[in-house]
Amino acid sequence: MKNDQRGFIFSLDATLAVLVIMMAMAGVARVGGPELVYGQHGYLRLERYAEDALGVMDQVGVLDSIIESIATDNDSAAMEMARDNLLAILPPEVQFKLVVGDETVYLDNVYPGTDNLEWSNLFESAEERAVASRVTTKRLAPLKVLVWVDTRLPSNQVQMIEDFIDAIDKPTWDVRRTSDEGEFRTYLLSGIGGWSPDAVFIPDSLDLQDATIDALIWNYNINHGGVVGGGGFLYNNQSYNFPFFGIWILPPIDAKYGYESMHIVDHTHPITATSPEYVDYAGDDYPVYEYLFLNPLTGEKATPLVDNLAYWPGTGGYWWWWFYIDQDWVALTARRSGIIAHGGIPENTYNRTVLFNAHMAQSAMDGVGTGEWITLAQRAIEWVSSANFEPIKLYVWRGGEAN
Amino acid sequence: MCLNRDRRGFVLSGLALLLILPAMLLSVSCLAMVARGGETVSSQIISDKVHATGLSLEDTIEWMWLQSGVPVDNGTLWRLADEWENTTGLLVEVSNVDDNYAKVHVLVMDPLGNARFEEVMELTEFLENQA
Repeated sequence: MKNDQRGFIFSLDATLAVLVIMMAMAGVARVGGPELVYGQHGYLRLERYAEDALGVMDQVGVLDSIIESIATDNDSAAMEMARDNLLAILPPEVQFKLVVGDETVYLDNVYPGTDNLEWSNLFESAEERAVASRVTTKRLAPLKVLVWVDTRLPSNQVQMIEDFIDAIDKPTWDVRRTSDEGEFRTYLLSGIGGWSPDAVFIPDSLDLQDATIDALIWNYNINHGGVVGGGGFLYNNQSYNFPFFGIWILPPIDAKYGYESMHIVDHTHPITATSPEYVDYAGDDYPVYEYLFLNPLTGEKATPLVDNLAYWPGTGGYWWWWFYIDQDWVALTARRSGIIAHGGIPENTYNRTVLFNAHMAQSAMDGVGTGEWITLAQRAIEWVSSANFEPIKLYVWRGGEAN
Repeated sequence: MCLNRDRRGFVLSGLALLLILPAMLLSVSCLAMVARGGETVSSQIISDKVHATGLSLEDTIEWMWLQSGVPVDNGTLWRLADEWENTTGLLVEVSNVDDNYAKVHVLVMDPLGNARFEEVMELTEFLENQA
């Protein structure tokens, strides 16, 4: 190279250094590349697709409709509803599978298409899947309610009770009613045709055989399900010597007329949460009863006058009448939070019994406090039945469609 | 070391070394960025899941108390928490506060404790809002 010719002398070590730099730069450039961006954010987006889709279905009430369809044995409508909504919510490149239930699977084959085998293979072979979950407390199987309708009562009252049962019935309930004491007892002891009640409702009753009360308490209530009682059921079964509903039903027990409204004193309880402060009652025509209560804290017996209401922790409502301002009686008993049963009351019995010291069916159908009594009865029946929890899972993955 | 004619090798000049050092620093930074990026995304996924679970749990409890008579006693709430744990793999605790059905403590967290959702629900407030 002559003096007037200019240029670079690129040494071997400098070349190596440049190579290293180029490799480093390529590495840095890869950080912004689509593969790494997807690796980091693609899965996050997939997770959010799943969570958002389930969230939208929950918020707009589609999940409720799906659950109601399943509960009313309309699985095909539930599947169609789920598929249509997920197709509308998710982008076309994202596929899905919806499963409702766990030990009992209620809905397992909701894919974008109807060829379940092919979609199942695609689901199994997906490289990555994201899942969003919910747990529903809404019943996926109908709530089985057994109602005792005592046809020995005056016929107009029997009709009122029948009408009241019609009024409280919900689409997701499976209500059976019986007036045959033998059949009633069989339902309690073993069920009939595989049908055993989740809850028993006795709106009113005359005296029942000891064997029936035995079946109700010792077989059914303690071991299986809950009982909601009302009307003259306890009053007319005074001879049965057992603290049922937290009440010792040996004498003295009196019937009193004239109470006009039930005063709700505990609005923190789920049964009475939405009730007004006073629930009207046709007390001139239908009596209420003075019972000897057991204090679940001490096991002592007491007639809970108004002074003792704080002392009786299971009370959700009491009778109020200005004339008896100092002699108010318990009107609604259901377990309050944190109370431990004493005095011979089995734990499950105390947990899962509700007593309405009222002929609520008759009062409601006479037009006195109708809506409030219906709500109270519905909430009491749900309270004594055990809650069911079922998972809902939505899986999503990226991939092609089935042929 | 003496370098003979027949022994070949590199002489790493000061300039070349200066070029390599930033390249190494850049590589280390790059790896740290990738690791941090992955960690951020994973935190986002976990916190999304914890948050969505907490909110959904609150909706469920509100429905149980307000729309139905489904029990909200401790026995039922503990079963509900177990079901959520089994379904999501998160740690879930739900219980009554002060022996009050209308006051419910909700806690959701991931097993490593990186994300946490905690709230005490005053259910009677929903009633007031409804009115």
